[in-house]
Amino acid sequence: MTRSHARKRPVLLTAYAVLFLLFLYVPILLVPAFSFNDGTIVAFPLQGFTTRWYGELSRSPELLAALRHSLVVGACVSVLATGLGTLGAWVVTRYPLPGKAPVTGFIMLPIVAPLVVLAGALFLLVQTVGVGLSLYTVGLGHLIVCLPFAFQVMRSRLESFDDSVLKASRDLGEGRVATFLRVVLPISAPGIISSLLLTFTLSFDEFVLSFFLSSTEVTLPVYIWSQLRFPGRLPVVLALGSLILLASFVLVVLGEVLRRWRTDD
Amino acid sequence: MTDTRKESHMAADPDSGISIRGISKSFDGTRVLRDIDLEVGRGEFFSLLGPSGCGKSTLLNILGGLETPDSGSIRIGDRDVTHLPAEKRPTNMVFQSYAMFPHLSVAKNVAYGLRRKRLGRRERDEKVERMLSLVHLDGLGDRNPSELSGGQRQRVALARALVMEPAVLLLDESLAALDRRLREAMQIELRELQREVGITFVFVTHDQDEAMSMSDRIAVMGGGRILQIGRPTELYHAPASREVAEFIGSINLIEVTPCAGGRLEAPGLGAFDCDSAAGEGGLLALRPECFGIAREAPAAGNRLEGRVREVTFLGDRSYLRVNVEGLEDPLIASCSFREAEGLSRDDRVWLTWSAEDGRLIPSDR
Amino acid sequence: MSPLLVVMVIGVGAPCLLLLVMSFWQQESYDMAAGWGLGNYVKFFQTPFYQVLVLRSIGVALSVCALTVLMAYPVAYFVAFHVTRYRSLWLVLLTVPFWTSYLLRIFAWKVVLGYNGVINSGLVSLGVIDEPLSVLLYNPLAVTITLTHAWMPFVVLPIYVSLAKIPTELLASASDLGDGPVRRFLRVILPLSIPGVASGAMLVFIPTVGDYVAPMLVGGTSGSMIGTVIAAQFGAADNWPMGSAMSVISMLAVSLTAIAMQFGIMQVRSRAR
Repeated sequence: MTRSHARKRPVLLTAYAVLFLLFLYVPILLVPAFSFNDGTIVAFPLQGFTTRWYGELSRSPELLAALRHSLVVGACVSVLATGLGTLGAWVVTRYPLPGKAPVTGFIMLPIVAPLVVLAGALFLLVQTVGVGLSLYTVGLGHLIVCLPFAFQVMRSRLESFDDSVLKASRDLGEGRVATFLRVVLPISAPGIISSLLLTFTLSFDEFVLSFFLSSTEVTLPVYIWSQLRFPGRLPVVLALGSLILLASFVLVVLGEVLRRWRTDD
Repeated sequence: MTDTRKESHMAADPDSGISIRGISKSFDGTRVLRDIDLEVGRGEFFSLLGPSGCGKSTLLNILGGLETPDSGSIRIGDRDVTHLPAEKRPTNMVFQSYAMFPHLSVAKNVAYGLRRKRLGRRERDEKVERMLSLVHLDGLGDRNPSELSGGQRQRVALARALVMEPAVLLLDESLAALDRRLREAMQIELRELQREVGITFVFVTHDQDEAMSMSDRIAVMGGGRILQIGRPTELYHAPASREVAEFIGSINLIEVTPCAGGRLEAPGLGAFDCDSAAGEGGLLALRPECFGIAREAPAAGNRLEGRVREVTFLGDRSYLRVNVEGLEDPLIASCSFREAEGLSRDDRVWLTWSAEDGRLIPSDR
Repeated sequence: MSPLLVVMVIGVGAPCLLLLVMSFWQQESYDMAAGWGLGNYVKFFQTPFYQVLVLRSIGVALSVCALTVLMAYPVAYFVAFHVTRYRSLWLVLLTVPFWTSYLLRIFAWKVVLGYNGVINSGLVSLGVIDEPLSVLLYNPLAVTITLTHAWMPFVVLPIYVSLAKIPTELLASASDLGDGPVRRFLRVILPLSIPGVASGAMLVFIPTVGDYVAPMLVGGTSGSMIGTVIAAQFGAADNWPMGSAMSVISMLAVSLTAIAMQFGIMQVRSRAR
């Protein structure tokens, strides 16, 4: 009905789009495929099915420590980024501000900045201030890259409902606090959860900043990076990678669905 | 000085539903409302009518407490509500966009404001039920607002405001988003609803037909001022100014000057009798339906000769546009289909009208 | 707003300023004394290797841009104009890879392209080739392919958004005024989707120039880029001022190229007749 000019089914275009999806997904899906391969060399033909690489995961204390660090940093960063992003998005969507465009441009900067440069600059700052590298500095780095995403998610969420709803709430007898709790929070809840999920995933998967800003306590991607040097560890890395992909996939699909929840996207 | 004026107004109408005094409001240095005075009677269906940007919605928002006036005061009943915030006022609003809470069901939307009233669950549910049935939405309480049609959302918005039992219901262009047929049905329904609940309605609209068909009285607004207040018939038949005359219905305006015998003269067109003339000139205002159509020159009375430019058939009646030499715009006459039958372009006709139908209004704007 | 801005100023503004300042500091080495000066910049322009790296990085990034736009455009077009029922599903499918681990997405290509990798072992076991090909990995092409794959979602979405905004009536009226599908595409759809192409290209170009992971994993020596050297200056080489200067230079080069690229893309739009 909409787009009615597309009368014929475009066979070629459909085929291309499907191939495109294969191009996007097949390389990624090779990681879990080989994680079940019963051989230390990652090559065809597959040698047989095994889950022993997954079993080895639980026997590496360093890995478990890295996992713990990633979870803690991810949790803190996602909460902080979402809180700050929501606040910022609220102000930007509700109040006329002078210089709104340059300010939001500045907030979005980390999305387009080359990560190495950003990481180097943060590294310099941390070293100059003299606080020393730790999980806190990793967290700061992650916060910086997560904020634009949280801000963006919350901004599009908050833009999707109009002010008259807030006026209606006041008109029906509720003050500011009650209006926030009964109207703003429930309407933006899907956005908040989506932002939490997405920023957590972003932080959990982030490598370059963690690599620059961590010391002995490393996060999971930095741990994986260190393991890539040892060919013998490759299958274990693949198993770990598969689990991470699975976790990211679940969180992100959930986050994306919530982000589009009841908005006319 | 202002004080004495206020005093006198109060004395004049002590039983007023709403009493607005000297309200002014500016946004970023632009004056949106200039010194508005207005009395609305208890139980009245009152409309604020005007083109967009005339300040009518701002005035409504000020009444509802959603905007604060720069100066002036508002009383509802015997209470000064000027400084009461929206949530504490005895007013409720039906918003133009309906402002449905998208995360709540229809019933929960209606019950939204009742939380503050500390009712029992049973009592609250009953009130909601009753209200939904009043607006003919029985059984739709569990729906999501997004599943409703525009007309249905409109009714939910009405129910949500009325369930609060406000002293005054404020309606902001509430029918504008509906299609014509539905809008006309809602006009009648709204009027009946108002009679049923018996509270004051203040209705903002830019649609003169809507205002005329529903209101007890109308305030025509323009440029942040009230141009005229009156019953629909008064506004139609006795517009106080050119602006009001042109805003409500179509009208023919002929510039005239006074001449001998209390008559009015239009240069080059002749002299006319007009009952409302009192020795000064201005604009002679003639509604299209005042005219009679004659194919031969009438013996006496007000008349103008012209040639038919266009005949428009509108079903219940026909419109004639007649070019009159000496007038810039063609005159518009409305007549029955029969009167216009057989007339075609360039036919010679005479437009006639009686002295009581013409209305003299000041020509300065 | 203000807390967010404070964090951003501390986390982005201050470090970048520091980077700029640091780039004018000269670290003590055998031919240079400690102190302020342009020494790092002089050294950069005296070292052809660095310049090659910057040029190669920009070259790779531009290729990635071109490839992503060319490959993503038809898909964005398909979703915008031909998908009606499952549009959200398509959009989620196109977005999800972007959020999954960047490191693993790059690493996956090492598995695909490696000497014992998927392509080689697959071709050998099929009998197409006898010996694994070594040309697949450790060159700029490998980096380009890997980055193209990694950044694809960044381009699909902006192009999709700009295409989806085109009102159907506009296309209908173009047809009505006598344009066939091809001319309609060139005269209406393409010009109107240019902003999406431009922002997508920008989102890819700038981060790709400074990429670290791909050159390290699949680039080898012939595929190394400026990002790897900058990282080394802050790490193993331990010459922060040099790293800062290189960062500043590459940011300048990136900005200039980006502006030129924007200009070029916008030309497509203004040329429309």
